[in-house]
Amino acid sequence: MINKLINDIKKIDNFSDEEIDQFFSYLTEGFIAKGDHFLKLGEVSHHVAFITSGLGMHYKMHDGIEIPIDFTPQGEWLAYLKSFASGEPADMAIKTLEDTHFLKLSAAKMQELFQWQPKFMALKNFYAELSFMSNAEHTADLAILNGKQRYYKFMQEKPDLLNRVPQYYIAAYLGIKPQSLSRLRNEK
Amino acid sequence: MNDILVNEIKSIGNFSGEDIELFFSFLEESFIAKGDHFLTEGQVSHHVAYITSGLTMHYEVHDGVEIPRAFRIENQWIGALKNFGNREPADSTIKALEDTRLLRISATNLQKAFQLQPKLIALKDHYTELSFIKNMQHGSDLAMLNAKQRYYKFMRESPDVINRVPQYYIAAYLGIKPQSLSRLRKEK
Repeated sequence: MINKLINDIKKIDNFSDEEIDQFFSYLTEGFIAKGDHFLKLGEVSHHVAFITSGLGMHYKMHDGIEIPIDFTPQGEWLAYLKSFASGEPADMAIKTLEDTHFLKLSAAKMQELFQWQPKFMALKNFYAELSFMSNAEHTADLAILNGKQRYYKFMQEKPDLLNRVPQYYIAAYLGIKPQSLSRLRNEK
Repeated sequence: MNDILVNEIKSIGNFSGEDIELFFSFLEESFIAKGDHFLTEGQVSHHVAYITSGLTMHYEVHDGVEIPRAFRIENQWIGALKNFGNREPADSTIKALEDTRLLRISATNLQKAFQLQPKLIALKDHYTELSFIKNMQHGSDLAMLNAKQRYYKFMRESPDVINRVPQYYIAAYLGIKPQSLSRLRKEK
């Protein structure tokens, strides 16, 4: 996964090895056990984290039920930019669905990094865009596709998550009733 | 220079007068008549643009129906990030719902500006985040709220959009049947 991160960095701009080393020196290793939180509801987000193994889930509470908004597996960045950027308390929480190892970067360190080499802002923007695009796609699916189409699309595009995320979370993420999801799974 | 945009840029980061002038030197005025397109499906997106007056809609066509993904009004940016500058044809489309005046910048010039002053990347990142946050909010509304709640929330948060966008677009954006929207409007 570290290699993937290095490759991403090299794709974005012509960073020297020294700059890449400097970037990694700002990261610290972290671990969250399955079911624990990376960010609790009402907390201010002070970190972003590159997941080296494991799985994170953004979710909101609605009528006492956890509604997943996004899943973040290894090789992707875990963050809640709305709170991280503004310093406002999070209106969404992030927890892990598996034991999760990551490299984290604090807001303060990120500012230091950007002051030292502003080109690294392009890296943050690259990942923000990726998350944005995948989220926009999911939002469009919720508005456009019916339950069955959403489920089949999810199966096709995220077969890996299908086996790692409990079914009731997948149902809630796709805006499908759990009974309907069971029916769709039996239809296969 | 557009004063509102200048003030906004100043609030985003610590930019010098020269930085801001450099950025504006790459912006060009442009106009789209009501009903015309900023970006058509299958085209490569070469520009992002700041709306100085008017209103635009990102949309997808599904089963012959235009489904809006986002509305943007004056003092907001439009663009299709997924395709911007990377030469992939667009999978969504942007058209003007009113006569719209823009300050636009090409992908090439944006890269030039970033090379001359990497600090300017913070602007793109800021606006990416804003759109991302907005989209995530809309997605979670679609997953969690019922039609009535979505409509009331939209009324509350986007009163300026609601009177300027045809009702059938608002219905499609909120994933509500047009008949249900008429009913909700009468209930008020």
